[in-house]
Amino acid sequence: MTEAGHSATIDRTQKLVGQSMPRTEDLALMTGTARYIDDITLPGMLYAKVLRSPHAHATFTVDVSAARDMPGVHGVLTGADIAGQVKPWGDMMQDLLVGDHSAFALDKVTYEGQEIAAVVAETKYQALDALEAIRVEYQELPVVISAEKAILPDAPLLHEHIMYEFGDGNIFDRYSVRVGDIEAAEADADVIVRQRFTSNRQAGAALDPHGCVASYDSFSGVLTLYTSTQSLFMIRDSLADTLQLARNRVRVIAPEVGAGFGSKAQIFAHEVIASIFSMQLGRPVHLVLTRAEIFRVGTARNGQVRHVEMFFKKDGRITGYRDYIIQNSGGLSHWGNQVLHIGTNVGILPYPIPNVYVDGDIVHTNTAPGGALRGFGIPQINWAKEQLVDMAAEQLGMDPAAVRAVNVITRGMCPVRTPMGQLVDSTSVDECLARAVEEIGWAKLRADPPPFEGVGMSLGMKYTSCRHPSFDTDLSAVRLRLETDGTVTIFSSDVTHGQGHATFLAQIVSDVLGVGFEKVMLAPPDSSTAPFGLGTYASRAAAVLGTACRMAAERLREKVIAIAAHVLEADPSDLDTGNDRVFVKGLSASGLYLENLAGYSAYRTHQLPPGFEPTLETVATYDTPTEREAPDGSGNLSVTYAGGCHAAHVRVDPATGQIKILNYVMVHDTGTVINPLIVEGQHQGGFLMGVGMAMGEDYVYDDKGHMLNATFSEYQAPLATDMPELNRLYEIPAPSLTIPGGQKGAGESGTGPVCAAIGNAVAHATGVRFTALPMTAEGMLLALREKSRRGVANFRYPDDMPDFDGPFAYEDWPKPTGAAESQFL
Amino acid sequence: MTPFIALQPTTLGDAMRLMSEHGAAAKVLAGGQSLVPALKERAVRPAYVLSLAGLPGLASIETDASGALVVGAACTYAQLMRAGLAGWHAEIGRVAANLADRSTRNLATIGGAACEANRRYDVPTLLVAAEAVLSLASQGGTRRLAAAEFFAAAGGTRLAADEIVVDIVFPPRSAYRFVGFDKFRTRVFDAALVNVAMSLAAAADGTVTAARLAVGGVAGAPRLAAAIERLVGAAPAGWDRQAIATAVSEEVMPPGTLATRRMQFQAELIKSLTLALLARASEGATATAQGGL
Amino acid sequence: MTQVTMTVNGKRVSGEVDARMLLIEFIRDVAHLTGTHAGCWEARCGCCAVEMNGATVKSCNLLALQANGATIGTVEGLSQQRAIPVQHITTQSLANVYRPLTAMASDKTTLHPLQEAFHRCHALQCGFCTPGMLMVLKSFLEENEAPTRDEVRLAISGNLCRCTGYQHIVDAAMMAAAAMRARKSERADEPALT
Repeated sequence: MTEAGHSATIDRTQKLVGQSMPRTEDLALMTGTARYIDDITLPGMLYAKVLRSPHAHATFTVDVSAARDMPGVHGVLTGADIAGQVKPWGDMMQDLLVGDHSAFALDKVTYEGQEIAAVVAETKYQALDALEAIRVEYQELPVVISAEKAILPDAPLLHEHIMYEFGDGNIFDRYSVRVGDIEAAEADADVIVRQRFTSNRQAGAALDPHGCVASYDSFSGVLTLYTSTQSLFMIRDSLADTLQLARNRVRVIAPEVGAGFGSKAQIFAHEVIASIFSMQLGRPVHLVLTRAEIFRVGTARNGQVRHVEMFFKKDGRITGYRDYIIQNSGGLSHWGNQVLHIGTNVGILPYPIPNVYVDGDIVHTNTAPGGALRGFGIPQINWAKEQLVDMAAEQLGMDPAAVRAVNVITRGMCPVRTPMGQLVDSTSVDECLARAVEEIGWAKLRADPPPFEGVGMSLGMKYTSCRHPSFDTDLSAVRLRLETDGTVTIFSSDVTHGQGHATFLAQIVSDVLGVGFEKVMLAPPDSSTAPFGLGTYASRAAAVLGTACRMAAERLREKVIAIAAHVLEADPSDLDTGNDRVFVKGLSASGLYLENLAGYSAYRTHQLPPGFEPTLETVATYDTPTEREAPDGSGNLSVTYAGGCHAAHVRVDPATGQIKILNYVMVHDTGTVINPLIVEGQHQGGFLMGVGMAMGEDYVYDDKGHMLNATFSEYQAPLATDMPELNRLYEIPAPSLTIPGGQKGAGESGTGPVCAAIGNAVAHATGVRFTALPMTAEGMLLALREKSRRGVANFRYPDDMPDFDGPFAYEDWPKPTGAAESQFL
Repeated sequence: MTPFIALQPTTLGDAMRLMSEHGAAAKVLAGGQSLVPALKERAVRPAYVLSLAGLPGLASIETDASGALVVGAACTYAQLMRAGLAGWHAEIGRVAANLADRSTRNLATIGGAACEANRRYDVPTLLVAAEAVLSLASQGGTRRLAAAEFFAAAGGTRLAADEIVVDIVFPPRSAYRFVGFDKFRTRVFDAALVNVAMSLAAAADGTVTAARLAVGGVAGAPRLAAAIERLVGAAPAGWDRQAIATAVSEEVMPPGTLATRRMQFQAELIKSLTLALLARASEGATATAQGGL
Repeated sequence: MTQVTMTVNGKRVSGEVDARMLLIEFIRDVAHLTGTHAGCWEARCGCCAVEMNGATVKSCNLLALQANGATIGTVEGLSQQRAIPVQHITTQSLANVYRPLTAMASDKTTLHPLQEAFHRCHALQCGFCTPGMLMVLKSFLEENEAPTRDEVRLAISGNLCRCTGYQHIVDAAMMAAAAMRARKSERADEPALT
C-alpha cells in the first residue's frame, strides 16, 4: 500500500467487511500494557529450567542428587521420576498408534537439546545454577543428519522400540499418490524434465518465546496453564490425557501470543514439565524457553529431497507429474507426515495434471523436530515444480509465462474437480498470472535483461484450512453473547496471535447484527469459557472461524428480531438491524435498541415472546465440507483455494554473489477480503518467511548433529535491509462459492511461491539454477566462478560443483522404499 | 551468568591496583557488548567484573602534538562516527558507523572490540592495517604495543592479566594518503565473514611509497598480505589490480588449502574486496576528498 | 547486592540488586514495566530496546549496574496514560443522567506520532517487537527528521520482526516523520511568549 493508502477513512454508513479498519488490538500492544507469557506473575511463583542433551544421539544415565541440595531448589525431575505415571503422547495430527513424545528422554536422546532433567527454584538464576550440579554420563551413538542416509539399511536406528503402522526403520510414515496412468504419460511425452531438488529447515522464530506458567489448585484439582500457543484445545486434550486428568479440570489460557507461524500449534514437553512441578508443589511454575532452546526443540520446517519429473506435450500441456520425496522430520515429528500429504496434494495446483504418481518416505533423523511452518509443505513442492516448469519452457522453446497460461486453472473453468480431486470452487489465478506479467515488465526484461539481472515467476495455490488425512475434522467455533447493555462478547478458542481476530470478527458481527464496531469485544482465549475449536493455523481464521462467527451472529440476529417483532407487533420479515437497533425496514433512525432487547431478555422477561428462551447467547461450529484423503491420494482436502502469482526481478552482484531483489510483484486471489489492511500485512509477512527460506534461513549441523547456528546472530532471519520495497501487491478477488462470506485463506499465500520465483529469476540472470535451498551469496559466487571456469551457459548448483556427492544422473536416483507394496493401495 | 563481584573503581590508580590483585580472575567491562553476552552464556565465569565506567578520560578523542589520533579505549562507536574525523581518520568513523546496529553502537567500545579480538570483528583488521599502537596500563606502568603485536596469531591478545587497554593511537593524517576498509557480511548487523583494510603512503605524484594490507576473518588474528607491496613504486595507472588482488587472496588463503566451500568463498571475497579498495584508492586520485592517491 | 537507582519514565526507581541483574530485569522486575520484551537475550532481536540517557540500548545486554544513575525511557513512557472519560454510550448516558467516569487509559489522542502511525499503517501484528521498534525509531527520527525509506530500514536493522515483512513499519516511520515535522513547524509558528 502506498503511504497515502494508509490514510483511507472508514465509511461507517457502509458494511465494514471490505474496509481497512485499523486494528482494535493495537493500543495495548503499542503502549506496553499487553501481557505476554513472560509477563505473567502469580503469587508464590517458582521458576523452572531444563537440562538438555548436548548430544544428538546417545544413551545416558543421570544423577540429580547434588542438584536437590542447591540453594533455592524446590524440586528436580527426570524421566525416571515420571516413567509409568505420565503417559507419553503422540502427535495429535498423525496416525501413530503409540506416543513417541515424552516430557523427558528416558535413557536415550535422539536430537540435541532433548530434555534430560528439570529443576524448579525460587529464582531463574538458582534454577540455572542447580542445573550445573546435575551429573549425566552419555554414551554417544552414531548420528544421522541426512534423511537420504537415514533410509539406508546401515543407518543408525532412532526409535527402535516403536512399531510404525506404515513405516519401518527410520521411516515412520509413507505417502503415495496414484492418479491416472503415469507410464502412459511418460511414453507419450514430447518433453520430459527431471531434477532432484532439496529444501531447507526453517524456524518459525516467533519473537515471543515458547513458554508457560502452570498453576495447580490442589483443592479443586484444576490445573491452569497459561501458555504461548496457537491452539487451546490441542494443548488441553493432550495435557489432560498425558497427566490423566479430566479434561474439564485442565484450563488452558493463552495470554497475548507473540506469533507462532505454526511453531506453537501443538503441545511441547515444557508444558508438561511445568504442570508436573506445579501439581507436585502446589505452587505456580514459570518455564519460558531461551532462543537456543527454541531453535533446538521447537519445531522446524520439514526438509525435503524431491526427485521430480514432469511430462509435457509440445504445446506446453503438462500431462504428468512423478515424484519420490524423502522428508526429514527430525528426531520427533509434530505434524510431519501431514506436511507431505497436504503440501503435495494442494501444492501441485494450480495445474489440473491428469497423471500423478508420488511416493514419499517420511523419515526421522538426529535433528530438530519437524513441524508446521507457514506454508505447510507448499513452499517445498512449489520450489521444485515451478522451477521445472521454467526448465521445460526452455526445452519447449516457449515463454515460461506462456507454459503456465496453457496449464493454469482459469476462472471460467470453475467450479472444477481436478484429477487429484480438488474441488476448485473459484479462482482468478489465471488473471493473477497475466497481471504479474504486466506489472513486473516481463516481456522487456525477459528478452533484454541488463547484465546480471533477470526475472522469474511462480504460480501457486494455497489451501484454506484443511481436513487432515488422519484427523477427521476441520472446524472452528464461536459463541456470541449479547450483553445486557447491548455490547457483544465473542468467545473463541482459535487464539489470535497477530491475525487481528478482535478486529475482523468484530467487522463481521457488526455487519450482521447491526451493532457498533466498538461495542464488540473478543474475550481472552480461555478453554473454560470458549467453545471447542481447533486453533489458529493453516490460513483458517478468516474463512473457517469467520464463517462460524457469521453463523453465530446470524443466529443472534434472529433472536433479537424475534423479540423486537413481538414488542413492535411487527412481522419479523419487515425488520432489519443496524445502528445498534432493530427497526422497521426503511426507518433506520427509529426502532428498539439492542440494549433494551438484551435488557428484556435479562431483567424484563415478560416483554419476551411467549415461550421464548431468554438466552441471548448463540454458538456456531463450522466444519468445512471437505473430504478425507482417498487411498489413491486424491481428495478435496481444502474447502476453497486461494492462489496467486509472484514475479521477481533480481540482480546478482558478480563480485560477492549477493542476490538483491530489485522488484517484486504479488498478485493474489484471497476471495472476499474482510480487512484489506490486515490481508496486505499477512501477504507481506508471508513474503518475509519466503525470502528467509529462499535466501538464508537454514538449520546448519555438524556431523555430530550439533546445530551451529541456533542463535539470532547466526541464524539468517531477514532484516529490514534484506527486504525489497513490497508495495506492488494486487488482489484479484474470486470469492469462494463454498464459504458463505466468500473468504479464502490469506496467511500463507505470500510464502509458497517465493523460493521458485527468485530461483527462476536467478537462473534467468546468471544461467545458474539452484537446486538446493537456501540460495546464499556463497553458493551464488562459487557457482558463477565454476560456471565461468567451465565456460558453460547453464549450471546447476550444487549438482554441477566438483565436490557434489548426491545422485548426479536420473539413473542414480534412489527408488522409493515402499514402491512394491504401494501398488496394492 | 555465574555470581561475580562488581568492582567499580573511580581512578585509574585504583583500577590498576584492583587488577594487580584480581586480574587473573577478573573481566574488564567497558560497554559490555561482547562481555555481557559471554557472561549470560556462562562462557566466561569471572569472580570479578571491573567496570571502566567510573574512570575519567577513557572516552576522549584527541589529536596529540605529533598529529597522532589518540582514541580512549572506552570510546563508543557512536562517539567515533560522530567525531567528525578528517583525512584518512574519517575511515575510522566510517568503520564505526557500519558495524553492529544503532543500539549496540551506543555502548560498544573500540577498546572492547580490540580486547575481544574476535576474528570477525572489524576493529582488529583496521588497527593492524593502519599500524595503530595500543597503550596497556598496569601498576607497573604503561607499555605500548603495535596492533600487529597485540593480536596473537592463534587468536586472543597479548594483554597481560593485570593490564587494561587505556587508549589506541592512530598515526597522524600525514602518515598515509589512503586508508580504506571493506568487508562482506550477509546481513548488516552480522559480523564480517571477511574484512580487508589497506593503508598506502605515496609521493606527491601518486607513486606508492609504502603499502600495507590486512585481512580479517580467516585466521586467529588479522593476516598481513605482503603481495600488496607490489604497489610500491607505481602510481595507480600502473597497478595491475586484478593480479595484485589475486596474489593477496592466494597469499592469505592458498588455493590448495581451501577445504570447505566457506573457505573458497572467503578466498573469492578477499579478491573482490581488495579490488574494490584498489579501485577506491585509485579513483581518489582525482577526487581527493577521501584521501585517495 | 548493590543499590541501583534510575529514573525510569520520569520516576525514580531504586532497588537492591544482584550484580548479575541485567537492565531489562531491572525494568521488568524492579520497575514492573513489562512492555520491554526479551525475545532472544542475545542483543539481536531488539525487542528490549530502551532509551538510556537519550540514546537507545538493548537492555538485555547491559548490567543494571551500568545504568546506575541513568535516565531510562521505555515504551510505557511514549504516551503517558491519562485520566480520560470512559467512552460508553448507553441509553442512560444519552439521557445525560451521569457524566462518564474518568479513568486511567491509553487514549488514541495522546499517542506518540509513531504509535498513531503504527496503528494507521498496521505496522504491528503480534506486537512483540513493537516496543523495541518504537523506541529505536523515536530516537532515530529525533536525529533525522526527514529520512529516506532506506535510512529507516537501516535504522531498524538491529530489530527483528517476523510478522510484517517490515513494509508497514517503514510506511509508519515515514508517516510519523511527516507528523513530527508538522508538529515541530507548528510549534515554531507559535509567537514567543516574551
